[in-house]
Amino acid sequence: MKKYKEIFLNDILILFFLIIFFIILYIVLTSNNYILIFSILFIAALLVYFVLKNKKYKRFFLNLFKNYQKTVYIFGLILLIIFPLFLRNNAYIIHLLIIVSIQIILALGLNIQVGSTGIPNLGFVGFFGIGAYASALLAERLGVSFWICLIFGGIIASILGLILALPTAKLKSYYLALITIAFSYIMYNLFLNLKFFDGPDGVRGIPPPFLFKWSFYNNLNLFGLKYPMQINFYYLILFFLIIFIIISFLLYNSRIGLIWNAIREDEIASKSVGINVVYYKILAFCIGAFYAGIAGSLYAHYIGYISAQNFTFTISLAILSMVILGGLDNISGVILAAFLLTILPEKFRILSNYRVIAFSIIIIIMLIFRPTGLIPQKNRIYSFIKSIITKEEVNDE
Amino acid sequence: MDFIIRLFISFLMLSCMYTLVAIGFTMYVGVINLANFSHGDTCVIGAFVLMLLYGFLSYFGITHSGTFIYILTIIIFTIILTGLWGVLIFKAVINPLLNSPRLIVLLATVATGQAIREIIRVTYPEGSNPQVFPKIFPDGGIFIKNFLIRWENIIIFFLTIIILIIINLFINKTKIGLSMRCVSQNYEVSQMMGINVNKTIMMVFIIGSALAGLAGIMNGAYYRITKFDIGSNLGIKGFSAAVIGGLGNTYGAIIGGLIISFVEIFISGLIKGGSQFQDLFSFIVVLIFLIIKPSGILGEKTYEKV
Repeated sequence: MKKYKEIFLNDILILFFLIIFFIILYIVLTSNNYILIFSILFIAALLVYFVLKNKKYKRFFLNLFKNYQKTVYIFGLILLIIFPLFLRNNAYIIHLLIIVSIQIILALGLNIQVGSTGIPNLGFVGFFGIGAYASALLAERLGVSFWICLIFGGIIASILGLILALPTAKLKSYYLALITIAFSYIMYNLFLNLKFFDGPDGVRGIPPPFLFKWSFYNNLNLFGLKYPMQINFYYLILFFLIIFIIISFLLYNSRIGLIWNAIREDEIASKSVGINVVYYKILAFCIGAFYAGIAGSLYAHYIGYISAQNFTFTISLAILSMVILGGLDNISGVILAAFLLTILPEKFRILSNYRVIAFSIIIIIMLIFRPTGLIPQKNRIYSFIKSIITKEEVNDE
Repeated sequence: MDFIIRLFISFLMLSCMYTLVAIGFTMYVGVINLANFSHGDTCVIGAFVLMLLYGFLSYFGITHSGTFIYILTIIIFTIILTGLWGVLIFKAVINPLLNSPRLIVLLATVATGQAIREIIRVTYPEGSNPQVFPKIFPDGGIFIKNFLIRWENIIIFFLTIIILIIINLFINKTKIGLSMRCVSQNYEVSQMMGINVNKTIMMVFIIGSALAGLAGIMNGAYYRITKFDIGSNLGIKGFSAAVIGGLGNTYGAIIGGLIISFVEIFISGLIKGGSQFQDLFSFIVVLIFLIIKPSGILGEKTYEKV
């Protein structure tokens, strides 16, 4: 009986923390007072820092969130679903959340290439663009359903990844970086100049997704209240985001993720233990590109209009900085960084002109003082090592 | 025929700029195995520093544009200032990151480039718009069979050749050049042999930035116009040139610059509607070269040591 009571108490505690988190999120998102936002973020960062510094609190929180993972996920999911309902009059905030989700999918895709495998990909936006264009053109010209276009966009992007990777997977460091830069510029030029891609005008009038003849551009009616049409897309993209996050975790914990990390750490050593390095590099290219293709397709159908200007080189740099700032190969870190790097520039529009300068200087300072990112990735711990470590911890106490 | 000659001249001009940028890249990669992606934006600094100097001088009523001494002083001052900028970049960004993974340094330099671009755009009056570049070179030119070759073309071409010779002599004959070659071969051993590695790398940054500044001046003087974001194009083309020629080889940088500018100019000149696709074709050439000969034309094939 006592045990059940404890579980129940802990559930309540977790719910309490999550609700506090979402309230802070709500304030940060809806407030226009950037001093308030800055101070909230600063205090939150300080709190996290002190909690992590103190061993007792740290152990308490780690135990709480580790032992009751299922509760955390279920409550978190429920809150994520309820959250936009409070933003009924704030369509712009929901729009921001959608853009954040798309950026997170992109960053997770790039994380597979840069973080897990160590491929310096500076032209990730090319895959994003081809996914968007493939899906948009298919839907606009042939009137194919959104769901088929979505898969098609992802597959076309990963085929392009395969074509790019086949001849270049053997290349190293700067050569590979240059290839990917050249690739993104080539894609940009094709989008801009080819008649097939509608040239500089861009593709207009991309039809919205339909679910059983119900257009996503309709306003959502729930309990007699009208919600903006963005909320449909929010749920759609949240669905895909969760799928991709799960896939990322599965890949990280699988044998493939381990092999990717081995290639990143030492290519020659992994060759010597019988890993087909080129094959796994190509695999990383294709899977990362698939993420980007799906993200591009979602983006195109959400915005309804794409042009070459949406797929410039600066976007690949932005996504790359999310991956590096979040902590290479750390999925939760990448998600956090993608969130911060998309929301904060929006919030600091007051400093409009100096925004990008501050942004780049912050990145440089972060790289110098904390090159491992916001949440550094720890070494993998396997069960037999884990038992040794826990034994040592017990001995320490 | 006139048309071909004109194309040829613009091809030479472009290859001069690309070569100067590519030499900087090739030196960075050769000596400390680091691609400084803010290098292209250093060119813009060169162009804008010269514009500031020009404005400053004409404020005091000194406008002898066209005379030899004027050109020489204004260019030398700009080169010195951009060289100092190289010191700043090295001290502030590169030196703290010298031992961290290369991907991190790459991102830091990219962010630096973005910062430079934005600072110029925000602080220079009407920086977002293209700026008219001051006329520092004399009017007119030499007539060869009724064909006018402008002074600026001649000056840019010979200036590049002189600079290339000086750089070559500097690397091969002086003591600092020797230590650069030494550091490029083995970082630790050269430290053991008593070479001041920090000073050597700083020298590389000074030379690279100064050359980039010169390339920026040439770009401005040739097109008569400059903008805060020309650096990204110059930087990427210069890096492509360095890679095609073989990273770490100065002669390779020259060959790479010639190839890239050849493709760019002749594709846009000879093919109808080709100017839209000039970037596309130059990058396709880069792709082909990298796939066929990944180490570059003059690059040595390196075997990895375990």
